[in-house]
Amino acid sequence: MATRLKEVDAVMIGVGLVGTMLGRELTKAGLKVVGLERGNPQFTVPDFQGPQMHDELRYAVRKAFMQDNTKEAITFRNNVNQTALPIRRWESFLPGTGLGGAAVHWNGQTWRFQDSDFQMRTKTIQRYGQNFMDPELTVQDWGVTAAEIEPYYDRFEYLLGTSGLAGNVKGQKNPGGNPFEDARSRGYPTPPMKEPYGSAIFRKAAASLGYHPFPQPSSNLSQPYTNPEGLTMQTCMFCGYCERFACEHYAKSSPQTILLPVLLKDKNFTLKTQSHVLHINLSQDKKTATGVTYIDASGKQFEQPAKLVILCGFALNNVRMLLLSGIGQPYDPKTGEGTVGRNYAYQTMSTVQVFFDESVNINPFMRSGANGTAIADFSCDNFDHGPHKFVGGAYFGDVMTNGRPIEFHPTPPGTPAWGAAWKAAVVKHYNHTIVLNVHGSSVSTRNNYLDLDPTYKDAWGLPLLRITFDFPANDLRMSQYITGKAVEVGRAMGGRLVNGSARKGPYGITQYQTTHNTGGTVMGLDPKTSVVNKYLQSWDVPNLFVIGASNFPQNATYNPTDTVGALAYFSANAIVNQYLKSPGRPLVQA
Amino acid sequence: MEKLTRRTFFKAAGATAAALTSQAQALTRDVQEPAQGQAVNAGAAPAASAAPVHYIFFRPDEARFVEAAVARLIPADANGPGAVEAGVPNYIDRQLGGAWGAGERLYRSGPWQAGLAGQGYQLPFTPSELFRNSLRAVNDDLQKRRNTTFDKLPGKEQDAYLESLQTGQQSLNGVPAHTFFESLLALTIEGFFADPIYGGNKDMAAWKMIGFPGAYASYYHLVDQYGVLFTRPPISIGEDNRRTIHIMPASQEPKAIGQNPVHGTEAAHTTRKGGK
Amino acid sequence: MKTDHIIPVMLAALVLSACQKSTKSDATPAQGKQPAAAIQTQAAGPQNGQQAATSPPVAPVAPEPQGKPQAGQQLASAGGQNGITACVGCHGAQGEGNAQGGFPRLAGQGEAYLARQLTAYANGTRVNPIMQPIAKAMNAQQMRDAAAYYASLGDAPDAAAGVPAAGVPAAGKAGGGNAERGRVLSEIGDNSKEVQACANCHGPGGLGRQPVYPYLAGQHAGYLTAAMGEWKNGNRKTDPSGQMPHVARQLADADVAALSAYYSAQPAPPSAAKLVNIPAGSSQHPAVMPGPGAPGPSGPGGGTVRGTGTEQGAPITGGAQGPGGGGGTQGNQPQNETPPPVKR
Repeated sequence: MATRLKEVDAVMIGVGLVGTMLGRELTKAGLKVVGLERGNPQFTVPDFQGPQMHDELRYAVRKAFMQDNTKEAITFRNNVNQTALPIRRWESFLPGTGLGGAAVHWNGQTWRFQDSDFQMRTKTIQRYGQNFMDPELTVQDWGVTAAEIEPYYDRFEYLLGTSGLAGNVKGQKNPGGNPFEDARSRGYPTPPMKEPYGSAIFRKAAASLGYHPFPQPSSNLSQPYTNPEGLTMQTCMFCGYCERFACEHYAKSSPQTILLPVLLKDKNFTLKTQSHVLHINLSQDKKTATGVTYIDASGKQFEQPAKLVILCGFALNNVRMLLLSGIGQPYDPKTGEGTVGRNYAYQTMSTVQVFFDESVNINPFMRSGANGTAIADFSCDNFDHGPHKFVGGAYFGDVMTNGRPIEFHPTPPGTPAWGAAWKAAVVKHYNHTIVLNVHGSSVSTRNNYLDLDPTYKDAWGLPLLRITFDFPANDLRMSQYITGKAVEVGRAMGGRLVNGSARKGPYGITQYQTTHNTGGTVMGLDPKTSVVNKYLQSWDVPNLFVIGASNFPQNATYNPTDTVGALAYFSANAIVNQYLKSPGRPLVQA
Repeated sequence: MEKLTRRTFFKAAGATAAALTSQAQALTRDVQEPAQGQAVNAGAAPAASAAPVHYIFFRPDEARFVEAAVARLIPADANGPGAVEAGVPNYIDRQLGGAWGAGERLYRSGPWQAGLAGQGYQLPFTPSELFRNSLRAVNDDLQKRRNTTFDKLPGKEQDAYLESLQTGQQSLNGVPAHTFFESLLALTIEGFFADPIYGGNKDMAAWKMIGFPGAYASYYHLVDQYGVLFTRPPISIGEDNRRTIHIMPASQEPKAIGQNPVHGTEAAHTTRKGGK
Repeated sequence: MKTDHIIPVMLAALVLSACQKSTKSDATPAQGKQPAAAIQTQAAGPQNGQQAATSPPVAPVAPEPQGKPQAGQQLASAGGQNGITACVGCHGAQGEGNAQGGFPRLAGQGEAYLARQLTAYANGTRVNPIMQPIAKAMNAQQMRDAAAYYASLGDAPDAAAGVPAAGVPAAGKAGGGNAERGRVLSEIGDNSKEVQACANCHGPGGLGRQPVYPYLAGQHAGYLTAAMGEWKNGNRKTDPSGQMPHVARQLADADVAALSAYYSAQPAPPSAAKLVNIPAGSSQHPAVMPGPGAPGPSGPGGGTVRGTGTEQGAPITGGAQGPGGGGGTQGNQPQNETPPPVKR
């Protein structure tokens, strides 16, 4: 029997980056807010300090910051003709847990999407015609434009202190930046990071082929910075333990460094960690959220009534929460009906290895999570897709993040997997190899979706989320073409051997690619093809907002976090300035 | 006092620490000699371990297979020490005998079905169960067909046998041979390159070989020194400012159980002469 | 943010003599064949896997001049022309420094670090009226020589072995700082002041991390406190990352005293110059490819990995650097060999 608590103005499900931001905006507006985080409390000191933090086995291989599969996993299959089986150990993607969420152990790669991403359907048809996209694609417009979101990108980047070099400020092109980016209102809050050796080599090679290299935008900062909330971050020290690890130097933009200390001082905010939300509670007519039910660390159940519910967990968990709570209509791929779980997408990744002579010391351990140099000449719709029969694109560059040897010990093709020859190849190439990362978009299709598994359950007896996903042919064609371009740049880098391989199907979960799982609670203008409106308000339950990469109708070329943060501010602005004036009402007429 | 007392060793060494602090069996600390005074040529053969390894998980016949197998997977040669010299069997033993081996962080609910390769590991076995079953099958197989054990085979035949496991579909008491082989290879690579506090990568030999600087890492001032050769020896998580690596803090070493002397424990304690 | 006076890591002199040219051996190893399919990325166009250009279009930094310890000893004991005072006068006959005078211990300190401080004294990046005229009188080679000499002093690492870490000294020593608080700051930091653990950069127990971060262990408390004062008041601008000025501003005077008390009570580390690791697979020590008969697979299955072990593939199929970043050798993906189809 759940203990019923006193009603509050708002409850956040998840206190990661979005939960922290929304908590701040709502408490500033005078609301009493409870933030429920199922993970553990953790702070830079003492929890993230070295040398214990620099433990590759614990954090990168055994994945100590990630959700515990023992309690809750996800099932996976490529298509409806297969049986989904549990992902018994994470590998392809790594859902994190803990106060601060994934932003504690992310890489800090901070990219804005372009307008051709936000209006992908309209602009593709405009440029290439009605029949250009494969029929299985369910690519949609987002319901917002880049110009609408720009001020929120700006605000988010200045919260983080992102380090970069703007390519387009108010229409003025800036050489050295990304010439393809949409206009921004001002430059980055801090200058770009130092360029590592491998990235400098890539820059020369890419420029020699006529491309436009620029520094990757990074939320591991290039210099000390005090953000508008009054919190100060320090310089990234290039320790080479970024993704999957927390930062000991106060240099990675995480809730702990950019916002939490301010929020935790606010009397209007109550943080409850180790509080696992089971479902959102609804009124009899299912049109209003009345609060949430959660379990605390000792297993006791509580009901937290609230006037406003913000669902801001990890993307996959957002979708599952709606399904478990019976909110909205689950998507059925056979009929095409329903919206919750629809348009699940991922990222299409490939790499190019460039092996150098032993006299060339790359020093891969002197790296940071979002350093390096990339080109966007093949991103988004920045090139003519006409001859190619695919949509979407990829950026690529030397954006290496580490040289941690358990997982990074590249060997040329043909090297055996063990023995003296393997060892010799590891020794010969460990410090003399550059890996180019090709980071490609992921379109949505009718067949890729999320729902609840019929068989497997979590530790609380609730069905696991089921992923049905395979790479669409569109994305494999895109990967083939752009990886070939990356190989050409690789060959201009002065190595002795270049080895690249495009992404091939079928998708499998045994190899890390990215943790950019998107879709399932898609945003849009039409309730028939979206779960939330442009302000991320649920069409079905107006006092519920769902915020995260689950809002993406398809995944774009770039990493999702900047867009998640911008949309969080966009939604918060609508909640504070519009919704709260007449709570419970839809902000957009369907 | 002990450099690692700011946290318990359990937190310091992570989830797998349970393996290292198991009170159930005698546990010998590998004595870590401090880094040598001369320039360390990575190709030089390292000093042999002073104290013998006591396994908490492997039975003697299992240990003999593992020691012989990892010696082929990563052999010692002119490039540097191999898996045995680096203490990889010790590492694997601690992993299998600890929380990870018992199935920590593994989704262990059924029903159990074989899946596509892209659906990953779908066996009911925990890592320790997987190894127990596989090693038994391997030993039985060699006994039956060749009337010998793996460690007694000549090197070339050991390689051929390992290869037959690597590519094989045969069932090792329920474990597909290639799954066992990959698990063994993955643990071997882990033990070779992980921080020495986990019992492998002894004296950071593997890190010295490839030039990986280890757990203390900040390179802001060097990242723009393009192509520089980094020659400072690595530093382990468990290292103090006397360059001694503590696999386990002395205060948390298991004491002898009952009257049985713990072989090597006295020797292990004496690395800190006169110290607390 | 280029800093001209940052000096890269030096190769130990004794290794240069053994330098050999790296071999031009084939990148593919002796055993195992090359699976062609894995490395094709496009049907038409240039073949992947070909030998490309052989040197990168960005040159590495030029190596720094070697310091000569004997010449440095000469400078240290007898001084030099143009007003180079003998170092021993203040820094002691063994480079042990002088606690009362506030002259730091130099013995065993990193060569690159010492040379960098001399440059900073000369150009005013580090303000010090005593050191400035001396440093200004030295040329770059003399700075390296003096630095090399002092780096070679101090305990041999063998002598340091087995000597226990001093741990936390009794309170009240070394200027009255609370050494236990110093230890906590050194190992954990202070969240309320946004100060990370000193050890993150300065190494365990203040051991130092050459060539950039000086040792603090066994350094004189008065000097350490004064150095923190320099960071705080801007007289020392030798950290382009900005970490040290931030730390110095955030720490209270009592915190600085605590750190000085803790570090000064630690045993001084062994000589940094004597600890050099030359990795295999470098120009100085190229990888040795195995001959026939070396351990390893011989058949066609030699390279196959599937990523279905108990840890689900890692560390065989590559980790966070993405497929191809490490581990398996099958181009960039595990072979997805399908067992029999799944029953519903």
